[in-house]
Amino acid sequence: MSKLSDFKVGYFFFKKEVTSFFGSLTGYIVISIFLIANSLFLWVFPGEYNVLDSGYANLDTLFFMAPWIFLFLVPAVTMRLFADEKRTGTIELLFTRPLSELQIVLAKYSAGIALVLFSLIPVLLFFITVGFLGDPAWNIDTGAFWGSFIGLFFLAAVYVAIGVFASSVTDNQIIAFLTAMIISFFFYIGFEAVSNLELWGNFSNTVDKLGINAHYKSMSRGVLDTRDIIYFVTVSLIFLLSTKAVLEKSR
Amino acid sequence: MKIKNRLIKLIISSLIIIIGAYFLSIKFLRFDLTSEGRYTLSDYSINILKNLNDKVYIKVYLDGKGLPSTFKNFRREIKEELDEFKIYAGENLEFEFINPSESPDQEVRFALYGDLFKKGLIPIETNEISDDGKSSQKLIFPGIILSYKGREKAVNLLKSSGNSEPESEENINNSIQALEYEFTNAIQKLSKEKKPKIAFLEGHGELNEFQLMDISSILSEYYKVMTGALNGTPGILNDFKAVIIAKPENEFSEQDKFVIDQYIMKGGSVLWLIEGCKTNVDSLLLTGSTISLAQDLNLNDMLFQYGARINHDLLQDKFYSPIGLTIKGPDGKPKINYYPWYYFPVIVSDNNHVISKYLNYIRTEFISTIDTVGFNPNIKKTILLKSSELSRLDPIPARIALEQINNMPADNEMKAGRRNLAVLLEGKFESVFKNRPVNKYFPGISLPDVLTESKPAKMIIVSDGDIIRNEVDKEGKPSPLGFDRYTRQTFTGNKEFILNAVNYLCDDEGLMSIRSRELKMRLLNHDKIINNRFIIQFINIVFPVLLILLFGIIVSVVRKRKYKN
Repeated sequence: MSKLSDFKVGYFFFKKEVTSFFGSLTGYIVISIFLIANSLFLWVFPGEYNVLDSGYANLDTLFFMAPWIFLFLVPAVTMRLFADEKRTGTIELLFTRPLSELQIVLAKYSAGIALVLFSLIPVLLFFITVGFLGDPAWNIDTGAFWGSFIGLFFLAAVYVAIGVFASSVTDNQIIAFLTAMIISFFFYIGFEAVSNLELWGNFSNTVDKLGINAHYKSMSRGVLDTRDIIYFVTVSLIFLLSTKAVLEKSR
Repeated sequence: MKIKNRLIKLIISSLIIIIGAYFLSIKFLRFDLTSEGRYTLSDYSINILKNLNDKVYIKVYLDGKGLPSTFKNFRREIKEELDEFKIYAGENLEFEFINPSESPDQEVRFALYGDLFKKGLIPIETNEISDDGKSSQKLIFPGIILSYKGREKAVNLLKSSGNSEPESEENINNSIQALEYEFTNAIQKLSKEKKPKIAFLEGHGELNEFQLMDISSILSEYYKVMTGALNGTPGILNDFKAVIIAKPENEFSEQDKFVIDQYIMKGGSVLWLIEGCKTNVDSLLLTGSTISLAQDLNLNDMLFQYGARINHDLLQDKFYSPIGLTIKGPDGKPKINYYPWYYFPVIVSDNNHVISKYLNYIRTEFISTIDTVGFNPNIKKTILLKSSELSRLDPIPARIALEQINNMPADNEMKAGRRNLAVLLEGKFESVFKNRPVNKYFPGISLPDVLTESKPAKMIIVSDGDIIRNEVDKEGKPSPLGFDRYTRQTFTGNKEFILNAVNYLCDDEGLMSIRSRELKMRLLNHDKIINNRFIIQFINIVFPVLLILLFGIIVSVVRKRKYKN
């Protein structure tokens, strides 16, 4: 089989995932809840996340909250990717296709990322709002915003990889959701918490660096560091490889 | 068996990826996408951080739930800046945030307050808002205490620009801009093992050690500060990074001039604080009047040759610090009244040079003006300080009397405009002893040894000596520099200006350049928010969801059409 058709098959599966997500009502509900939650924190609820009360023309709080809100959004988007196919048995069908496990994993993974990115598009409206409200208008730091946005993308990439993995180990969507959430949570903040324990001694910094937060912090304010990007790519890759191994087992 | 194989394969490939990632991470690049490079540290700071050889520990005393929102923002910026410092310092930098008001026990709290205050942190009072929405007055300490090798140093991070509230957004923004400078400066000071030497000149009636007490103590954090007379000894200044000549009152001998001149020719730096005229404040206060006379220090030819002239005049400025006089109150008891006194000009620094940027007010007394002169193309002249627009020049000699408080000149008599009060000269100076018989003063010297053109050198000339002088009270106790004995307030600009000037003269340009960093204030328009609050909330909640639904409808319509076909 030529490379091109390989890609075509992969793309077909990617498209199938995306359309099936929007074919169900859950897809819309998940994204809508995510968006409404974001909006309420940023614009309505009084408190430190409220942009209008802060008086500053930036969306820092959005990027600060996002890892937490993504803890719910991403597992909800990814939970059905494999779990559903396993439950209904269509996974067997998948294996009869001329596709390697890696291709299947990558197709599902990119579908997950596309869906998360899609749910972020309306966030641009927040950007426009802050731009409009600036004194003078449009004094928002556009470079910083897009830098942070790229950071958010890398964060999502890791969460989706974790979600894909969690979905592959079970045939129950709820369990997939919870597993993804717990692993993501641990990666986000768990390492940092553990690193504060006394027992690490001089290694506490290293333990902290294993977690997402240590790498997301500077990205969330628009500073891209090659080491942080390498971290996000590495973690994603390992989870995808693990997913592949799980699939090979169930074949 | 097969399962085991797969597991081993997974572990091996993961390990390869992790090891690869580790090696790729040894070197790194950082891309700061913020438009002003907000999070980019200067090479100067990075260099200092990378060369630390012991742990710097920083305690930030700004924390707590109830901080006003501007201070929350400030706290976040401090944390982000320290995070950035830690990237380069690694294990050698640790920091923590401490809420000094955390303890519910008032005694513990007050003990900590007292401790922090003693170490040099200045508290400010703010309105703290508790969870139930009640506001109460609380003390906060927006500063840090650094420790390194057992040494400690307190740094106040909140800039006060005099004319605005401490927690105003402008003030906080200025403070945020200064963070890198403050941290780097403090770390450098703590970690520097060998300090460069600077000298205060003596022997021409300069200010004495008590009058220079405050500035000396600040300068000695950076430099080894020495005092001494020249006694016409050539080369005596060679070891010094900078020489400060603070308000001399006696003539300079040609021998001493030659020593200073040749020091400059070798690339030395001089801070001249020279009065254009001699005015005795004590006799003014004691007798009610005094005569201000032109002061001739035998330096005119020298300064003229370098490119500046201190004029024999006396500046009156509408922007002044009042004079306080003790009068008999209605109850017969003495009380202090304040009167306008244009002879104590207060300088508002408003230019962008690193030395004079963002200075607080500077207090001066009986200041003269400076003109730049000459056309030496090798000399760059920068005006650092100017009077206000409403100024007036008294010719010398002038009789100054306290009764003038009652008729200070009207605005239409203050037409002299903005006059130069401090100037920076940089470049290759020409010796004032060029083409002169030096043998006359130094019989032994051979003429070829006399340098006639300087290596690149710097000097700053200020036409007031009181700018560096702290008051000394009757018991001989020195007040802080900038302390105004009449109004009892302290003008912190004096200290900042002198310190910046000396740092600049001593080549600490790397540090100075951090100071010149500027961050744009990005605020929201409060009126727009108040007028549109509901609409903003409505649009931002409803539109994103609508957008998604719209997309869904389009998708399903397209799909149905596809099926139909």
